[in-house]
Amino acid sequence: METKTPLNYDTRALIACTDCDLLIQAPQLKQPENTNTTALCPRCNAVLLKQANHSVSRTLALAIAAFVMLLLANAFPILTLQIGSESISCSIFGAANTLYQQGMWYLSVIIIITTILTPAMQLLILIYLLLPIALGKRPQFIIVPMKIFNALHPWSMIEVFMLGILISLSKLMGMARIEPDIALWSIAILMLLLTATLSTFNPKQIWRLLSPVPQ
Amino acid sequence: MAKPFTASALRLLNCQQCGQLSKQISPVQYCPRCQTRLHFRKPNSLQRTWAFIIAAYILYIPANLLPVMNTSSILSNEKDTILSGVFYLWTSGSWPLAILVFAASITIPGLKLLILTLLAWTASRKKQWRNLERARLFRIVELIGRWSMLDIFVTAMMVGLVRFGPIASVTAGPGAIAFALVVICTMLAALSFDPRLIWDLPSDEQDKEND
Repeated sequence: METKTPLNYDTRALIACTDCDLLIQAPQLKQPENTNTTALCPRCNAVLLKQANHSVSRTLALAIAAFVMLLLANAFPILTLQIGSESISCSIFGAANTLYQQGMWYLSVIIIITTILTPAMQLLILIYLLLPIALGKRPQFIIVPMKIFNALHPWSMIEVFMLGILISLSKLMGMARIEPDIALWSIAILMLLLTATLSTFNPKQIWRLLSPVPQ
Repeated sequence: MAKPFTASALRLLNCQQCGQLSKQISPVQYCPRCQTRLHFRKPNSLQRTWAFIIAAYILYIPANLLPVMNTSSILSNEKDTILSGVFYLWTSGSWPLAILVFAASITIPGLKLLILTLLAWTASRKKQWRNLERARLFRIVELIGRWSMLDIFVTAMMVGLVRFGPIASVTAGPGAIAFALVVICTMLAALSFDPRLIWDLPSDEQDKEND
């Protein structure tokens, strides 16, 4: 059995694939900080390592821009519907609030979490971690924010929400006068910025700030 | 083909959070870098995955049968299920949207449940069958799962906008809750599933005794 192999190797030179547990020598990505590179697992093609061009400064800039868009997306209505002389505008909070008043508080909680809280937390954590690094310091807390960040990822659904808005827009177009409002554009830009932010962010770089492990 | 070396076969624990490898030195161990509890595989991965899959199958029935949206106006009072909503889009001429909503609300959750069932079943049998394809299926499930929330967001926007009292108003129906829960359950099932189980050989059993 392999389990009896004497454990006298340096684990720092090795990494294991998160998706198939294959043990391989950590690949050295060339030209640090200047190219976008990814290393794939030779057995299951999972992404082992990635390197984004100027990851810290770019992610920080994108995250700040995305956060401003998130504020705008919440401050203004998304769509305005007009029937006769009456017109009704709806923001994210407005939609969640109406659901709440109809007794569907679970749905309003889901909407608030997936479209406001999760993206906001993701962006704030990134800004908190990356701003000190960009200024040449080390963020005070790393482990807890990183763990929260990892857990948040699947629940951020801005792009799905954007498509949902477009579908409701075209559903209502036949029935009444409907006009896009400021937040519609903010959400569209937020969607692009958030995707860009998450793809340039390199979590391995943050973990490396923690003290190296003697083993 | 020679048996590939896996971290767990060499009693190395891979940290789920930060990717730090550590040698196993005790039955309960924490990552020296980020203090996460270490396991060879996600604990009780298959039991949890099955629990969420079964819950999702059960909720799938009311999600498709109960109305998601009630539309009332002076002239009519309609209750729409997911399927009748798609049908309405189709007959009102916007068939590209109908296809999109059908894909997101009916095809994706259904396919996702079937794929997760297949993955959990084959992983529990440790069948070494089309591993690469199964790994790819798992990644697809992880990627597209969130898009099923589409109908919930459409309902929320309709409810938030169409509030003209007796003239026209839209309210959310109980189907929406069941549907949202189906999506959440399938997402939790995918999160509980450990993709490394796809690759584990039947002889690896003893490696996971202390998870």
